Amino acid sequence: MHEYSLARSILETIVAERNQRQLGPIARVEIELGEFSGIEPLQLESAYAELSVEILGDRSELRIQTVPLRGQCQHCRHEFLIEDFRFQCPSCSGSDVQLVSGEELRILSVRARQN
Amino acid sequence: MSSVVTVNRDLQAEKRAAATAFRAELTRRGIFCVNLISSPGAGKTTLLQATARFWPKPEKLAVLVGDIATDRDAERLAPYLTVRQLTTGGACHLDLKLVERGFDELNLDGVEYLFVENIGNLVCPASHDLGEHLRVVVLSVTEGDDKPAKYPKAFRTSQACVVSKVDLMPYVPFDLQAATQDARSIQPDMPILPVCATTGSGLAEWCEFLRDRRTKALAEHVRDDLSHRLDEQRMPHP
Repeated sequence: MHEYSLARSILETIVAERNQRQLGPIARVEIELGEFSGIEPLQLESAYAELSVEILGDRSELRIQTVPLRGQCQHCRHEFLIEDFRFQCPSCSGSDVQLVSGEELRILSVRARQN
Repeated sequence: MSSVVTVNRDLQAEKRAAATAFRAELTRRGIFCVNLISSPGAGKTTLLQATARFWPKPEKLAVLVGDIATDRDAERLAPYLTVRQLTTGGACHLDLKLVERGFDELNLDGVEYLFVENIGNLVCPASHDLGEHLRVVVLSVTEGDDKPAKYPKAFRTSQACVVSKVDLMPYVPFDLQAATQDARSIQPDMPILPVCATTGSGLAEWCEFLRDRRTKALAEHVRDDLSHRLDEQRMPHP
């Protein structure tokens, strides 16, 4: 989708976080990215690598944890992995499926060097 | 030496909250908002022209129409309903800020339905909540029946699908049953509304569908509001 602007918003959030908590140079950023977020991990990584020096003032690594697309049937409460975008309960064929995960874009943690 | 610091920050939370607040504001004013998404050329503008012609009181309809460049769609729609053009200058989707700005510039006296005609694109608009009550994906028969399976997010995040240009069905290899089946494996209860804006077929059903959804959305609001007030009354006084 808009990996460049998302990479920028990740990095700007990290800068704010670093300043607020008075952290040392950032070595690594770990994020959670949902499979159904519409965001392409490889494109995000390359946009991040390009912008890291400009925004953080240093190279840093982006580590992406992919979150699978999971749903829960609102009829029988069965929770399952959604494969091939088939949003139907494999247990009771129920069609009222609510997403449990798969749309995330969350910064989990940063690894900072000692000042 | 280095240390790991927990951040735990949801980068979508702010946008989600802003869209929810805008939706609540629309509901409070009795305005039902419909976000139309599709590929370029699927017939969103033509569908809106036909809707306004068919609607008994078109002064109750308004539209914010998005394009990358030109105000041609606004010109096409202006004879039929209140319209404001939004140009993105290159961006491939509308975002909430742009919609809110257009909304503030529209005269909404007596308006009951606000359409937002998104940029022609089946990818990015699917990831942007514009505060709408209903998202409708328009699929024209000339695009091919494989689109629901190829653009699952557009179909998953939509609550209805208008199949447009159905008068051309005899001339193109479009299998309505196959498209319906694919769309419903992604969004199981998806209403499928075949429409031809030039002959007017299916327009009555489409308009009836919109009226029904508006009534339901506003009724839900009244119910929520009432139960909220009852909860407040039940709160013990200090």
